[in-house]
Amino acid sequence: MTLPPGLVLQARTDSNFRIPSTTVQTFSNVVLNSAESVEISSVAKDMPTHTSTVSCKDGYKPEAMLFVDENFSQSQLQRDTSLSALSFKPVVKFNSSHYKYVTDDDGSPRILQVGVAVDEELQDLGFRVPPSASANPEAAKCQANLD
Amino acid sequence: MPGQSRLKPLHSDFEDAGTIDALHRLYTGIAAEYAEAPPLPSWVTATRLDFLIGTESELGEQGGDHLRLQAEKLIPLFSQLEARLLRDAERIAPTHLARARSAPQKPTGKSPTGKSTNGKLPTGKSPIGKSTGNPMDKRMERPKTTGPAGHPSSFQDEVDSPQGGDVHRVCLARLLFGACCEAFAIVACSRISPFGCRPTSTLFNADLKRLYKDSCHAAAWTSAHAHYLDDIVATGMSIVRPSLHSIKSELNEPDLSDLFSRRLAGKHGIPSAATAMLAFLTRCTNPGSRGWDSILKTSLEDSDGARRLSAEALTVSLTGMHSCIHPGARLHWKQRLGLMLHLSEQSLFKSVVLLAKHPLAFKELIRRMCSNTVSSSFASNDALEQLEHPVALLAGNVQRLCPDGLERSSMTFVSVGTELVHHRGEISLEEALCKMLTFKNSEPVASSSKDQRALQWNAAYLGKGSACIHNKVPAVNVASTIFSFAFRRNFLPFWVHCSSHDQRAPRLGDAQYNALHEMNAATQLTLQLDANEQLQVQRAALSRPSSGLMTLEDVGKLFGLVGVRGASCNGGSKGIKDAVRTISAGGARGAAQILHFCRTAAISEDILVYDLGPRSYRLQLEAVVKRSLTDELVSNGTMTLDQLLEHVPQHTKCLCACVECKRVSNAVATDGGSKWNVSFNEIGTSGSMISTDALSNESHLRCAKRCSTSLKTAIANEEEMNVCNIECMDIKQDALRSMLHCGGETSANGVCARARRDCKSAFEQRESCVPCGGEKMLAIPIIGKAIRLWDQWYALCSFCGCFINVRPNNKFESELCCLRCDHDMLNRHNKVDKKKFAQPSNAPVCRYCGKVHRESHHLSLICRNPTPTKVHTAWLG
Repeated sequence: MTLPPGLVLQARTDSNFRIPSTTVQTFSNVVLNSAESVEISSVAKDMPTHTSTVSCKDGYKPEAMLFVDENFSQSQLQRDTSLSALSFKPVVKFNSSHYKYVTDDDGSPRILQVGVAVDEELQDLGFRVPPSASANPEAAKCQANLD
Repeated sequence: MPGQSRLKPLHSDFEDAGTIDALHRLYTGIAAEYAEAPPLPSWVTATRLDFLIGTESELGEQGGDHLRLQAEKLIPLFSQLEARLLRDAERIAPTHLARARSAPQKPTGKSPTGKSTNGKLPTGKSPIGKSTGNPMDKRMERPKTTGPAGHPSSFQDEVDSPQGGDVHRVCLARLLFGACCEAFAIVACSRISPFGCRPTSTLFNADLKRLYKDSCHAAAWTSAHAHYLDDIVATGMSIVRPSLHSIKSELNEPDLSDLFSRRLAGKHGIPSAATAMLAFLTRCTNPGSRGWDSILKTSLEDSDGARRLSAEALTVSLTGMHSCIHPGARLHWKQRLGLMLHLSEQSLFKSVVLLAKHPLAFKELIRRMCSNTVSSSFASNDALEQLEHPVALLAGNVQRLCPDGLERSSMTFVSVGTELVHHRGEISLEEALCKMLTFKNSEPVASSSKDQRALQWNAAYLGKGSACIHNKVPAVNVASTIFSFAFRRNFLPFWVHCSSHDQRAPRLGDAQYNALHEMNAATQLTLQLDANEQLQVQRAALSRPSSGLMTLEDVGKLFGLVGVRGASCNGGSKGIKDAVRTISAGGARGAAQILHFCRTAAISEDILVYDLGPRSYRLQLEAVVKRSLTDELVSNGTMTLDQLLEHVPQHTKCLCACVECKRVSNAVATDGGSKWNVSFNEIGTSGSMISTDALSNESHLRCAKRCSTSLKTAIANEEEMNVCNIECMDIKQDALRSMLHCGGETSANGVCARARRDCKSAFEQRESCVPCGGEKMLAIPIIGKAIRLWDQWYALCSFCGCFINVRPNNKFESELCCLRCDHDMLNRHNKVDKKKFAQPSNAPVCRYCGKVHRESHHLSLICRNPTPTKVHTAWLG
């Protein structure tokens, strides 16, 4: 799931802003029947429904994530809706430059996220993105498990 | 630094930027109008030249005969087509083409500075003193035209030479194809609007915007191939294949949208190296110049990054490789090549500091760059447009051109580049940059018809410099005004009475405090509600996290009150009378409910708690037990985590704070991950002491800080007020009368200010002053929660259990993290594989075999491979 950063920007800055009826899921192509679409719309009101992993293996780069500043908690929308999760849970932002349309061998189109993964291998070149310096939360997590 | 963004270009290659599609669009237009346009083979628009002709093609043919034969046929056709298009463009708009695209002038024997050059081009030292051998002359001479064919004779000579490889012909054909597209964009744009003008109607805005953008793509394509050919002609080889990154253009400027989105964040959300650039981006839209000069000076002096990005932006603006200008304003690709090579040998890194002498011009430069570098985030730009933010106006969209002022100033930058070309590099960049001042007072280009308007520049073309954001005034603020006013009504007579006895009243004694607050009319009104109603109102306030942010209208709706709305458009009230009138609209009961609600909401606003969920709770619980060694000290292996938690010290599982000095005493990581290279291994509390109840034998923490001077003064004042019993003294009528009727003298003596100050401190004081350590410290359980206390968010790291100030970057995996976890501390008795979790060092590492380059190792050569392909990089490292 992705969130358009503009939505957060408006929620952050405009006190009159309310979440529109058409939210993140309904921006995408309709692939389901109408009954399920209604269900999706109702679920969308409680967004964000998922979180994304960041800076870890199989996770996103930090710059791919939605940036929510500390003062977001001073908005009514943050306090009253589940958008408050954006301040504490990483959610990947929607940026059209992070996506690429490809076609399968059978000609069916797909959409791929590119250039936003931490350990992404650069296409065709055999290079990886240079490792970035980071702390050891991975180690801490591993050892903190008492099992 | 973890959690922070890195710079990357807006686009990675021509296809990613949309150049290929732009070229196809333009060539489709050419084919529709010009019968001589040849059919286009697919290789002409292939993204990468390497894939067509191999990586070593300049050394000889590699079996690409069919391409060579096709290219040999296409080159003259494209040349003739470009010449025809340029003639058509001249015919449509002769004035601008004659000025902007005229051939370089022959030396007149005098340099622009008046010194005689005896009819020869100066050699040796460049205008800024660097020895360049006057490359501009050499570059400008080499690609000279050969009549209508329009392609450089030197390139043609190379093509005709027996040593010339296929790459020359193929690349030249691709170059001329781009030149044709560029010329067609001029024709198409000039038909809608001539150079220096804009149509008065907005009907053509989308078409013009498309042509401006496509023209920029074509120019980038042409110049990249020209640069490649020039290298081959000059040196016999070229390291860099023509690509989007061959030359500086708006297509490969850095993507700063992520940085721009952090402009509202505090200092922890922005890398220190990027602060100067962010200041440029945020301030460049201000119409006024207040503060701009100082920022310019300090940022350019202190920040290498800001200086470098500005220098690159200057190159793009001087060469016109952006989409803010009419295609006809851009130099021809041959002149552009000379200019680019000349600028590449100038020290723009230093020259950009010279431009800082013209802050207005520098602001226009940054505005142009800002409009492009934040354009990749379409959703944000759309939101900014909704808020009428000037950056959205700068960036424009697919339906709208950039503002007139930006195009006009961009044209001036291009004219500086043109000036350099016309003077064949004899004029220094500094002299040319002095032209920057001209756009301020330049006369608009005369429009030829009523349907066109001349482009003009004025300082306020972006309008106001901020977005249209209406901040609402919370009802708590309005209610606070009412409570304060009602308190002042009783306090002032008391204060005057004290003054008549030469007694200050900055604090109230216990009896005075209770009496004055009980006399408060607003408090009395709220006490008219019965206990059930009061509890109902309190529950309404406490159950809503946003109760402290609700406006009067929102609170009125909550209690079903009609007509409760402040006179001010932001939901607030205009003065105390309006505030009282507004809350009275709901009747006496409604007013009491509103006041009581606001009083509760103000208290609840001090502490906000957010539940992080069961997964975070479990992770934090495990980490806290591990961090405090509880599992090793207490457990015999049979205790559950919840049982172990009871043995965890209070300062490890609770947020401890002193409400007197408003201080959190836990060891907190406050850096937001910026000190990632230093582990955070602090535990315990600071400035605290354990107090044990003698009867129950229970222990708790108290603040151990010494009282501040202000607290000591407050305690002394309170004691004095308690001792002197001022309320029992006689009332001095004369003194009171003289003080109340002394008119302007009171303000002259500062009496009013003193009374106001005392009233405020007396209103805000607690019932009695308690020194630090006099009461228990506040202890809020924090496991699984994020807590906001005194405007700071606190939580536990889910991996090591330390306390953190929650900043936007404090995230790892899907949890909050300090980013400074110390696994050595957490595993004091367990051996861990340090290599597995070793910190990546700054030493170079081979990306294939993982070998780390050490200082002690034998000297090794680090090769920066410009064209990393599988074949050629396998041996690196």
